[in-house]
Amino acid sequence: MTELLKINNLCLSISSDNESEILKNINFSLKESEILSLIGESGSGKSLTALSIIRLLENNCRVTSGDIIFNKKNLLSLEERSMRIIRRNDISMIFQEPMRSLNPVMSIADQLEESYKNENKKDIKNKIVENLISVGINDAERVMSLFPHQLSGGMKQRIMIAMAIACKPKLLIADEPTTSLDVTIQKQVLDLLLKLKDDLNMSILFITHDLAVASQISDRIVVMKSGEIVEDNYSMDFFKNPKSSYSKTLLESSSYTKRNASRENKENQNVLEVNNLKVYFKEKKPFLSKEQPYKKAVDDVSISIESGVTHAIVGESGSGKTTVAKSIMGLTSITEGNIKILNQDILKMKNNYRSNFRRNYQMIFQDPFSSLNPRMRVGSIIKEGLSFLKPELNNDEVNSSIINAIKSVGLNENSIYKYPHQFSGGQRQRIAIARVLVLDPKLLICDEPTSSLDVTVQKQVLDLLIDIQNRRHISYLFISHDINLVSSIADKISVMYQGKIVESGKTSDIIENTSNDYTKKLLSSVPQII
Amino acid sequence: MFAFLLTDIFFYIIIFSLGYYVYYVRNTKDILETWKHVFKSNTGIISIVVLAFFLLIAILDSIHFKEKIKNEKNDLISYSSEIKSVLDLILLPTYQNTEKSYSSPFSSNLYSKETRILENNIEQRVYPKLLYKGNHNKYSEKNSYNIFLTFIFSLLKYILIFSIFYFFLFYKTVFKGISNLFHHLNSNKTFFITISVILLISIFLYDLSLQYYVLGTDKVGVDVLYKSIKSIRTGILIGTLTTIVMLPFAIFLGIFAGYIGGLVDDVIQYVYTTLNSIPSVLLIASAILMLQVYMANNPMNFENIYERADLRLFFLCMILGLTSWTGLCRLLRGESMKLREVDYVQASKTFGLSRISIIIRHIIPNIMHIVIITIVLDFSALVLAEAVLSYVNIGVDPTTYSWGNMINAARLEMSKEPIVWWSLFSAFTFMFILVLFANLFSDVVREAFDPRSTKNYD
Amino acid sequence: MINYVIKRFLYAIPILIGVNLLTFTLFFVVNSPEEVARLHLGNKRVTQEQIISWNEQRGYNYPLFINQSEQGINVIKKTIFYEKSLKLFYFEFGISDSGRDIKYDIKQRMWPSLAIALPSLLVGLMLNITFALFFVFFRSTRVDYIGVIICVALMSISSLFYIIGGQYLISKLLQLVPISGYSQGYEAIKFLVLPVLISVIYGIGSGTRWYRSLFLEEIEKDYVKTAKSKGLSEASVLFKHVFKNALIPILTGVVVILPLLFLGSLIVESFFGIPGLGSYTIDAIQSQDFAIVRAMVFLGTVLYIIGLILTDISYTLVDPRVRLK
Repeated sequence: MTELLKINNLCLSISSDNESEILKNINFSLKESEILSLIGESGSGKSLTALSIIRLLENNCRVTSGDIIFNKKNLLSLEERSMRIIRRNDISMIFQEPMRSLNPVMSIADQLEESYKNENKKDIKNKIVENLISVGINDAERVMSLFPHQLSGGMKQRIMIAMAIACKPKLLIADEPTTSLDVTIQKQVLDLLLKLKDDLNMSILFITHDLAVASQISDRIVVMKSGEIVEDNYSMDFFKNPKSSYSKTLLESSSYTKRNASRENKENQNVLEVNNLKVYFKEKKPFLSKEQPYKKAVDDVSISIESGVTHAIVGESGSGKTTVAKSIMGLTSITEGNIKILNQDILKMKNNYRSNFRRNYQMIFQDPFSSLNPRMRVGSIIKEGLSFLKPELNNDEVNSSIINAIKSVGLNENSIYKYPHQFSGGQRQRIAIARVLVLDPKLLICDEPTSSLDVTVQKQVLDLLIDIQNRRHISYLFISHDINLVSSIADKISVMYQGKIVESGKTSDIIENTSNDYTKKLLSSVPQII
Repeated sequence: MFAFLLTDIFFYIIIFSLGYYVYYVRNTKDILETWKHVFKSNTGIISIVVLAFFLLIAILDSIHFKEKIKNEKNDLISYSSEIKSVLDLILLPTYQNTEKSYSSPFSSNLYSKETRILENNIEQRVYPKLLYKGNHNKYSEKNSYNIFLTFIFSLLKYILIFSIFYFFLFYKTVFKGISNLFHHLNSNKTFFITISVILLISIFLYDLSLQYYVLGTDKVGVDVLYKSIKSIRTGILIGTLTTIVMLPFAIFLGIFAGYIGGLVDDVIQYVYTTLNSIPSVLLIASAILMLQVYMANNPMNFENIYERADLRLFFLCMILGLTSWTGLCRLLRGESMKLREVDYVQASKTFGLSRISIIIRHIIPNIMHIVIITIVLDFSALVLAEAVLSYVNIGVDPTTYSWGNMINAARLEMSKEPIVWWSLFSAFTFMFILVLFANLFSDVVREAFDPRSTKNYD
Repeated sequence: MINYVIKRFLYAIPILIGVNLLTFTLFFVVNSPEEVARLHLGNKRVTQEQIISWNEQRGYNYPLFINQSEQGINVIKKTIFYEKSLKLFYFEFGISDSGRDIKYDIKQRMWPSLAIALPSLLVGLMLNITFALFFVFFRSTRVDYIGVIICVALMSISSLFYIIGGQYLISKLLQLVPISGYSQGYEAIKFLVLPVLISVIYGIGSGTRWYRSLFLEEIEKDYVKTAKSKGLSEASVLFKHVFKNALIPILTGVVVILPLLFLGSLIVESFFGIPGLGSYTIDAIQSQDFAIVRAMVFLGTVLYIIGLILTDISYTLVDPRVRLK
């Protein structure tokens, strides 16, 4: 096979207050009809590498040295006009967010049409239909007349792919094309890409942070870390024995297998009991209509959690799993059902009593960037809960418990004087954990606490959570979309689908021999590192 | 004896809040970082220095007092009913005397001829000489030489003043040696250049004003430059006081509507949609007309002309404020609605915080950037609006010094041949300088504070 | 769609009532009709009889809300609130304090206003969009930088300067068009050129800057990257993709002020002596003719609300994401 793309010593810097080098000596090459995965955590420079190939960098990014040889031409020395012809014919790109990557005010047909060269309308239309069918959209005629907002995320990504392959490119750059999609959809998109690669005999530069996804489709793996390439290897070799230590850490973090000590023999006190929970949201009533339509976000859900146990709720986006968490925390109003914590019905509590009782159950949010008030110092963030839920403490006790909490999540004592933006994502999530730990809760609801973190950080946070559980005997209600992750930390799993729990049971039972079709589909869609 | 006009008191409140804000920012690291962005840009520094200079003039012009009058006969001390400001005291040598009528800039005689009867009973049409200025050249008989020499002396004065100030402010640097001194000057180049230019211009204008009417005189012979400088206070007051009046409405109603929602939201939305539907000029006009009627029918409440003019200025700001809070209110409502769903507010709810605590602790600090952007953005629009309102006769009191009044008065003389242009020129120039730097400042502030303008890179 | 429009008109009613109550309070409760009459007749030495007859001529002699001296429906009908406030709802503006029929005046005067406002709007829109696109095309270059500085400078100049300066330069020095005045038919054009020109120039600074920022906001969105990755040229990305999206806020911003064009521009009309509604309003304010001011407040509100409804409808035409229910 011949080399299609070769990047030599690419260096790139961003001009801001102080010129900083973002990419340092990037070297790799891509052969014809090969899939190369560019792997790295956020900030590793993988997207910038891709954008510099297709030359769509922001104005303040500047390539300082290096060549990008594509088809024997140096892309960096081409004029913009010739580059445009290459984008038109030879290199295509798909982006992470199909939601934002399509023009909202143009119909699908209009947007697809732009990818074809000057031919007559009818030919183009036939080609579009053909193209849409090839990306698995069978009712092409109907879809063509629609606008992006009328399509689901998966459909939009298919459209994006159709647009990208319209010119039958030699190279397709896919920048995290499946990250914002649910697992079942992700699998379909990955299968589609593999099929198209064979059909069109094109090369794919696949950018991802997810090792499992990469292992599913790639021939070669290139690992990047803070602007440098740390490993360039064949896929088979990479997953068997990675060369660099960073790759090893990545691999270890991705296949999370830390099990906590068995907790079967502890006393079986029920910490949380949710019975027949229903949460319906009113939908907008059509004009002059009497019937009130509802969206059944949570429909008859029952869960019980014993002390010191991790119970996971798994489901795709829109399954209602977060709504369950919110209704336990009182963040959304409940249509029907009851919730008992430590055998006390929190819905029937007097307001005063409940606001004091809240210290027993707390929640960690998904996005550590939005869960900490940017205008407050870390100390006051942690203090907030204490001063409202444990007003009996005096100043010294408050200060010492804040310092204990911040230490117990592995952060420096000085952190309490800093602001959230001075910390990384993982550290922020630690602060969020410290904020609830300081209250000494019996039940902690973790709403996807690691899904917005890089894999290595993800592992550290999970380790911390399990460590805390072992020390303090807390129960977790762990909400996640990742059945793989959940299977390694939860004692019990409930699978949610469209507001209902479709299956519930011990982790081993569900993972190894489920009888439910949806669970099966979920399990089979999850990419595994081969 | 000090005299406090109503607007003075409010202006002091504004200055103190500004001072408090500076103090607060210095102690709040993340906001300090944002402001440092403003100070880092050349445009930012220049506009801040210029605006600060205008503000200084307005402050000096807001410290009022009544002069003691000693009755020679019985040694009783009484106070004059005339209210003066510290600025008047400083400028006293330049404006204390008034000519008869119009005179053009740097002129030595009046603008129109007068009939004079000469000794031999022959009538002659002549340009009468100015009584107080224009004929008293200090350094040289020839005007151009005289102006040049005045400039040289001003330059010397400026160097002296600058060195003294520099020495007092940065005496630590001064003693560290000459290279250090240059380094210090160089690293704050823009700042020092701006200060120097302003200082030099002020000294030069002051020196010139002792000898000439730099910007001419108006119909009743008052120095136009003095009028223009006195108008600064009016412009700045309208730009700031209006916003201060409006802020509480906008902030509290906006937050309540957005955060609490439901019926409260509906009512507040109704109120601001209603106010918003009335074309603003008409609403302002209606309110001011009614004020005029009220003031005309109740003259006993407004005896002193200074107090009456001041009250009218105050009410103008109130009315402008009450009609202009809707825009900010709507912005804040939207932002509070967004913040209501943000995780850190949700997290506080799980701690059982009350609505009020959440609003104070989480919502208000996180909407302040919108408030700041609006304050600086509205400022220039209000300064410009003053002129238009005065034209329609619904602006400040005709006796108040304001650029709007100057333009309005000069407009009537437009048909004169040759045209009396200097009043218009100076009013427009002063207004342009203030508004231009306010606009530049607001650009920089918006860029620094608008979360959308910060980009993230992978 | 029709349902929606009906619903929006129903929503407009409480707003109009609110505006009506507000103006009523301002004009009749803050100062009683008697005090207003005293102002008009000159404060000193006014006899009670003069005030009463002044009020009687203009229909201000009724009680505010309830007229106990009348029978039946007239208890409510023969009041200031009904006569002067409620009647506005069926566009009965009554007579002005100087005795003219307001409705007739408005009908006469709205056309000259429109003759200035509409061309100003259209020409201004075209120029502003063109300049904005030009600057955006050269974004982050010196051209753009200088362009923005010029815009800010233009914005910082008082509108009165444009008018006075324009009149002086073009009418007085160059003597190209008359300083002020108006006439019927095609003759009117020579009176309209200068005010339109000045309105356009006055709007260029802020308009161009505003549109430029709209375009820039769009240009940073992800779909632009997609379009570029398809190999489209900068120009076609700008015109086909960015322009279409930025047009939504531009167009809706224009639609909302369309009905208000009838009201004209206060100072431009007054400076140029155009007999439009703008100068009508100014004259009314200056001569403290409150009947006209009240009528104009109500009319302005109605036109604004119509503008809002038109805006909502125009959204559905330009933005496929919006469907009215």
